[in-house]
Amino acid sequence: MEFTEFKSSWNLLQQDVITTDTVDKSTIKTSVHSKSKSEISKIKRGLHIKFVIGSVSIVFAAALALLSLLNPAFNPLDFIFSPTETAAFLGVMALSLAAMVIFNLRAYSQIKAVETSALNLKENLQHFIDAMKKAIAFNIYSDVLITPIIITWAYYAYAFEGHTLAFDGRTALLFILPILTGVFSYLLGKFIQNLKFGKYLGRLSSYLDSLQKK
Amino acid sequence: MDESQGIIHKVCRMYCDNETHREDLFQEIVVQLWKSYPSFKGESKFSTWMYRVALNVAIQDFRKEKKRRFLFLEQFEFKEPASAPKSEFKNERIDALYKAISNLDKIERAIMLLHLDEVPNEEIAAIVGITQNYVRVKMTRIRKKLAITIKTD
Repeated sequence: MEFTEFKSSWNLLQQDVITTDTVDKSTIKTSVHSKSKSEISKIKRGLHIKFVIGSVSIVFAAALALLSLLNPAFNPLDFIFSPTETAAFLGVMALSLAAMVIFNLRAYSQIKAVETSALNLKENLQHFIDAMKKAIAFNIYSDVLITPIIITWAYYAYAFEGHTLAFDGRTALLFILPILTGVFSYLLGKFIQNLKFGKYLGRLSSYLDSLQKK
Repeated sequence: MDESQGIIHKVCRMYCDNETHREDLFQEIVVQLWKSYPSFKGESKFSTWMYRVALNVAIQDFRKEKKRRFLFLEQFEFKEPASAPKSEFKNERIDALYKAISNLDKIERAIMLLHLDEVPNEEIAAIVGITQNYVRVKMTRIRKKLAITIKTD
């Protein structure tokens, strides 16, 4: 087949499109109102679920913290913490969850902004890659925040049972642990996200490169 | 939209290798066109705007395939559409066209589609976001790539 023949083959294909693919108005109307099945929409829905769970957890943690402070007899974590420690732990958790929700919201808005775009292909690719990278980063930050807090408080609960804070190795570890677990969970989060989206973003970047160089 | 659905179907044919994928991409493009419609300000032709939205959706679209497992982690491979299965289209010339197109990447397919649809270079440049001169360069490269495919067959 010569290149000039492609045009006539394309015309044949157009005929095939008209006869076999054309759908009626009702099918189009159904499509307009149906849920998007794209992977991007699935990511967006995942962030939405995270946002709902995060918001409910904030309210729950804040309410329990407040109750522990106002009524020391009510201590849901009395097996590991004193009422003040419980209030502090749950208060920190509520604040961290709030930060997590903000990170998720930012990731969500990044994805939402590029989902519907009438920009040209090159600009859209640029925006899309940037938004995906930011959304991935915000997603990692939100996960990184919670892990060190839970691990450090768990360490505090068991390592300081019957001990007070003093200048010793036990206390030093209390400060080193969140840094170490933070760095570890950041690297793990980055590795997982790269495993999931690295190749996809790499491919989109190669398309963008092909439009930039001459 | 009802009158212009031919554009969506052609984009779907260009980027999908099976009927299920075609139906999914068609639905996705229709949804995004509907959502993006407020952004259409009439500065360009309706068809130009439609090509832009449809091609953006097709280029961003990815099919996820579970490939390898690292302990509890899964690595995803993202499938590029191949040519349409031979049995699906009875016409040999359409088959040959699909076979040639399958060697092009997603951007080259977009330019090829616009070229075959006789969209002027000026409009192709506006849709893709490159200069008219670069559109010509790209077309020359695509022609060469297709010539190699044709030769090897």
